Amino acid sequence: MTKPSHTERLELFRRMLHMRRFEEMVIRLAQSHEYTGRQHLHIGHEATGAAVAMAMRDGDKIHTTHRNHGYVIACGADPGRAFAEIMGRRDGLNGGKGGSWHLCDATRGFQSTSAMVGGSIALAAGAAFALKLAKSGNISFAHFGDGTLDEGVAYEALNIASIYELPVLFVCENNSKAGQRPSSMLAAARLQDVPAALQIHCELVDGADSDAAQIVFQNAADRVRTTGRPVFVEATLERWPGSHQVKADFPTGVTDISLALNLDKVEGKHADWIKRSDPLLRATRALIEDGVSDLVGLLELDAKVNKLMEESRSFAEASPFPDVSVAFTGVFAS
Amino acid sequence: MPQMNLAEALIDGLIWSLRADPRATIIGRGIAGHGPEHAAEDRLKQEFGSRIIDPPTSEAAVAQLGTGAAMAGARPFVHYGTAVFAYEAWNQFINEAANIHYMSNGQLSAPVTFHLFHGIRGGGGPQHSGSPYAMYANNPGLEIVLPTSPRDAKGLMRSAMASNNPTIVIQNAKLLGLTEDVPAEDYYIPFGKADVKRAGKDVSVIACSRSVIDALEAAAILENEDVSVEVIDIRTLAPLDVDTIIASVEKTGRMVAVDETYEICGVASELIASVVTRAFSALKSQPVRVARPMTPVPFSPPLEAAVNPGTQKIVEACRRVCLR
Amino acid sequence: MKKGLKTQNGASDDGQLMLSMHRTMLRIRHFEETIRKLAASGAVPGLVHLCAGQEATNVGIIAALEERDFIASHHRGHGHCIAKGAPIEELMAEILGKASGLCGGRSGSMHVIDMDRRNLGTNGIVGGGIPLAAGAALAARSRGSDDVCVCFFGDGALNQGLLHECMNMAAIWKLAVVFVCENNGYGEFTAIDDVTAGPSMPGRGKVFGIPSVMIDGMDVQAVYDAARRAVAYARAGKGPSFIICNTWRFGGHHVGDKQEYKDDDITKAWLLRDPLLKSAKVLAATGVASAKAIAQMEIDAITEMMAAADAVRRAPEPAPQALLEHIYG
Repeated sequence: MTKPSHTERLELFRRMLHMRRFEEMVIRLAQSHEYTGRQHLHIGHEATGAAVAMAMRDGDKIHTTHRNHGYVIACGADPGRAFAEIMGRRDGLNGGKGGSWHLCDATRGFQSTSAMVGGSIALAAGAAFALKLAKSGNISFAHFGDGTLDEGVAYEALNIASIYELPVLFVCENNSKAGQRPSSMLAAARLQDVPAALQIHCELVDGADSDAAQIVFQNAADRVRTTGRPVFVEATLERWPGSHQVKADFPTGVTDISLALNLDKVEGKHADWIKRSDPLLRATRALIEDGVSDLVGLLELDAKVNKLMEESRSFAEASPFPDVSVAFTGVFAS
Repeated sequence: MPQMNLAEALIDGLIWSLRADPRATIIGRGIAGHGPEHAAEDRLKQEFGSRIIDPPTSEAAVAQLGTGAAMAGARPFVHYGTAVFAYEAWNQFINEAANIHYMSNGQLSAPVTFHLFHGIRGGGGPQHSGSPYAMYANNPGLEIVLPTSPRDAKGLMRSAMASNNPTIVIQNAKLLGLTEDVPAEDYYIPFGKADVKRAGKDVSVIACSRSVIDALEAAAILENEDVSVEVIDIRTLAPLDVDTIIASVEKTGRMVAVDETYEICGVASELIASVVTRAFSALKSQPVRVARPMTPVPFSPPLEAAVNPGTQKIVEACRRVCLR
Repeated sequence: MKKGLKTQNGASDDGQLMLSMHRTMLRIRHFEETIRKLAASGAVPGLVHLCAGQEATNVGIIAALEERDFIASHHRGHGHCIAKGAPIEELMAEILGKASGLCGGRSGSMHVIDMDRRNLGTNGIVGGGIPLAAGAALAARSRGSDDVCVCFFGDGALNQGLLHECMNMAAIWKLAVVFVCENNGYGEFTAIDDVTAGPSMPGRGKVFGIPSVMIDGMDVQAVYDAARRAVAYARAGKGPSFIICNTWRFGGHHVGDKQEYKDDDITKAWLLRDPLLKSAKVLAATGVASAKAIAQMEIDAITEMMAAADAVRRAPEPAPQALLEHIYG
């Protein structure tokens, strides 16, 4: 398969790095601050999230699930404001009213996060409906997990998108690869059998392979744009060991991208996942082996990103809690 | 001025909305019901057929389709038909549409209008007689509109479609045939403005939807007993115009609240609570609540009549509040 | 004489079974016609949804069940009730809201529940019976029984998410459910093709690994054969099946529907496929019953329904005290 251009690959990698360092900082913040709520981290999904974000154009809309941090960062939201929102502070993306599970940055088309399984998929169909009515040429993206396909509303949304020809790119992050307890109990042999039975074009991609993801999602989005019909992409992923955190934790440790060239040095309980599935390490290795960059260059980039996250952290920590009076405002639009 | 029935007035309001705003779109069919007034929908189909889609029986996704589209710039009107069908979409109404403006901190709103037919209707039985608006009102973020006259229906529908919030226009289908003069031109009726449907001085009967019509009948009966009944139509449950209600109770000193929702946590309860907590000293007697008793609505006509908070029950309630 | 449907050895070419199914179809046809007249005269509260034309699916499926098996029906369910053995007068009384009705007059046509005959009920919510049947199958399994549960739904319910959820659960847990779609081409007044994506309805069941077929729902023999296979499969613990019966309702969605959305030519073609006509031809051709005997069966059916209507019209309505009964157990 042809690979994306060097520029595109570097851009994807840059976003992936932002996403990973953001999530690691979220864990640190959770460990050092008492703030309410759990967070569902996107670690291990970065290749998919970044590839989807890169396939978006101005005016496109995306609806995500509770596992949304990666997407909001990949879409270009300010990390400081995202941290602040997760911590319930005044300068958060939602003014402290939404929290981790409802991050919203409408200026970037990041419409909303639904914390209800099945929430995002039909909202995205609705967004596509509006975009089509407005003849904007824009498309809508739905991000959801494999568990969502157990929901009746997902089936209904897929049927509606098919019969009304809605320009939606359905992105299913299937992080229940064989051998793990699946989120989905779907009887179908493959998740995509469901949209396929409804005449929706389907693609399958290794969601941890950044080059493949970049190509598949770009092509899928182009297909939605040109045909005006929905497309369903299943991105298979191996679940990150810290995926269901009750207590903030670093089971795979802070990512060291230099290990990409020294995988045999990886140790610990989750060494297998790190060596096999970490998309960041895979991407690092690929960029170096293909001569797109070298380790020094990538480490420099990493340092910049880490610095940005430190500054963003400071911004968030300095942001006060919202004034209590705002709890009673903004129920209705004027 | 032309005469319109309530169905025609609703449709007229919708047509003005579609003319005014190219983003307005219709999801659903049977907007004027399936009874004798159903033909009112033909005008809509003739002028705007291309902007109407007929959805599959997928209530949850249809609510979300409308909400998601509204969040992305459209102005959908989503018709469900019988209100209880929308129970399949509780999550979508409450967790998504009602919450989005608040939880996005104002970045997004959901200017979607849902249209439902509620109420005891004669043989509807336990699953087709629901009036869910008290439950919707017990949740912030939704506007709830209950038109009871053709003139109100047109103006309120216009406001619903123009509103930037999720609005539920909920209609008792038995009112669709009511007829009166309705201005032909475009006009709006604001939310949060109750209407004095009949002025009186002895008892304030506060009602909504079909109960307004029943209350007016009761008032005519009581006139022959020398009891002067004032009937207030709240018109919108959310926002609720408490000031007009209190002004009336301060005038009469006696209050009956009547509505088709259930007694416990129903609309009548809220109406009384809003007066008692703000204008207790104006009351000369204990307010009375006329609502459905806490039973599913039975099918057989005499049983259905027994649970229906109709005219006779309102008459009796007015007599009770006048006893002291 | 037991008015229910007794299953024979199972061979669909058993003449007695065919005769029995024909008789039940006739009774359903004339029951519905009687209800139609009663509704036109104002004796039926509310709306009523008649199943004339769909008798073969009602009868053929249920003929493959034993009395201990369950059914869950939908708003067009009188035929299911009758096929499952509901007493005619009590069924009619329920539709007219009389105290002697199967549910004391409190439920009406759309919520006739008849647990003595393991009928979980007709249902006013599209797809409402589907999870009830799945639940009954789960309960049966929990108590170690191989009772089978059939749920009937229309083509309108194909796009209900709940069907997807229940098919999935029935498949993964191998529940003894038979999903029967009575495809009469219309969800109320909406043509099914306009709202149902995908080239293949059986394909929607096959996605879950559920054996799925589409058959001629006007041929009671074909329906019975398909049902027999599905019931045996379920009883053997192998899980659910999905049967789509192509059929047609001769009347409107409800009594009073003018049916302007139906095409005249298509309607005529379907009338020629009346399940009663087809069944009578088979009976005559196989010599099971003479034309005279079949005509007599029809007269008996008409007589039965008219007598029931007379009795029910005169029957009392429930007393208001009945209102507060059975809210809680």
